[in-house]
Amino acid sequence: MSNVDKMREEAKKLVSECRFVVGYERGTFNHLDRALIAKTPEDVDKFVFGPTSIPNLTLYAVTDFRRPLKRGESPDARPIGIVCKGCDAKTIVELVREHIHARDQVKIIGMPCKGTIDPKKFAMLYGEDNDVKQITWGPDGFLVDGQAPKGDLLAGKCLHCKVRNPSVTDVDGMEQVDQPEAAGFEGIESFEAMDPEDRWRFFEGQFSKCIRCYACRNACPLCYCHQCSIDIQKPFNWTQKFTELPDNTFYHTMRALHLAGRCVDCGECERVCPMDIPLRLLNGKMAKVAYENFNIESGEDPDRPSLLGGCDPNDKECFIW
Amino acid sequence: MSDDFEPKIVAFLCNWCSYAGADLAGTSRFQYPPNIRVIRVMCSGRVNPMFVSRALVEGADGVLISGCHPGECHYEKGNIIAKRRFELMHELLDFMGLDPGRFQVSWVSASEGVKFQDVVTRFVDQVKELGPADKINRGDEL
Repeated sequence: MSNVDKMREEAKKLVSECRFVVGYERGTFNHLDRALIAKTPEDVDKFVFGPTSIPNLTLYAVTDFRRPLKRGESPDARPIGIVCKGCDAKTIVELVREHIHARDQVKIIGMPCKGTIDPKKFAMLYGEDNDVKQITWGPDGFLVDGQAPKGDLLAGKCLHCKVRNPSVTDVDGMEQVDQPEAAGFEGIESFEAMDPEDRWRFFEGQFSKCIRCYACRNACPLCYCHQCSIDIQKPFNWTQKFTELPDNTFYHTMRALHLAGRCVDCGECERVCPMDIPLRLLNGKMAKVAYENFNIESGEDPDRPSLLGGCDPNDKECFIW
Repeated sequence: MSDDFEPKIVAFLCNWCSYAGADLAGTSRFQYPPNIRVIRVMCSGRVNPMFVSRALVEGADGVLISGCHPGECHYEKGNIIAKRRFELMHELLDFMGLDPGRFQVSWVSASEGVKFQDVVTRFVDQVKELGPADKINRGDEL
């Protein structure tokens, strides 16, 4: 039985005992999948999974757990079923660590994944209004309508993926995929090697583009605060709502720091960014510092200490007088 | 950079150590440059890294944060918790190419008036060398 059939079968079992099962269905644009909240077995029949199943569906669970209850409404004790890739399963570990929900409140259908496509790279190669029907995984790389792709389509987050087979799952018996050696923080290191002035010129260009639509924040499953500090207006605004360089830099610095040691590199922020700002670079740098200076890696262990909530007197002091 | 550039520096001093240290430097007549604008906070753990960004955006040329030595915090571990944030903030500013030299943390106890003088003098020299902050300065008067 293929993984997709297995997924449908498990989702059908779960759909009766869960609030809902969230998975992927074919989108309006044929080659991209979208989220489907399934409440009946008929909905589950629409589930698909492939290299175009890109969104991180844990966001749907987080929003449901964080939803304020209506007057007189009692909390729903049933769990939520989620179809998860390896990176999404890491998000669940991190959410459990932060006590957003208990581990048994979600049922994870962990799907082994050979890497997703990058829709922006795809649009560049095939055009915005292409008539591609389906993208699948072939023996080596992707197959676009059964043929080899015109160029590299792999999403940036998948280049150094360590969890092609999800580390946590509630479903056994999925056909596992090969796990290549992960290369660590290669992209970050090559960027660090640049001259500081060049680095600022690069970020200056990127941050100037930002239109502050907050899509990165809204798509992030770990940006779940009821009130984001960027929205706070009393007692004062942290920053103005202008889309000018100082304010944009402030916003992105703030977001990177708030996600430091938590970001699991699911790549949603970068995917949804309409201005193509490389947000994973900032979050990746924070992950690198957390790992190298404080030995903290997100998404691995739900009992690990928190980076910014904890402390250790033996921490390194690199620049303090 | 021209010699007559006088940087504006925002200093967050912890109430229990560094503020008293600055006081001691004052009463002991230790000379240090008058470029710092002191903001007293109850603990260096009170300082959010965003204070640093905000100060730089609002027109500061440098930000100095000073607190008790690790292990001597009035609130036991406030400065140890804060240390990680400052370490991350420093790395992030460095990564973005935003002159990490404009941001400095130091541990100054209440009896170290001389060290306070030394820290401020060194930091002002360091910021003078970097020149006026113009990268993310919104240009408003501080």
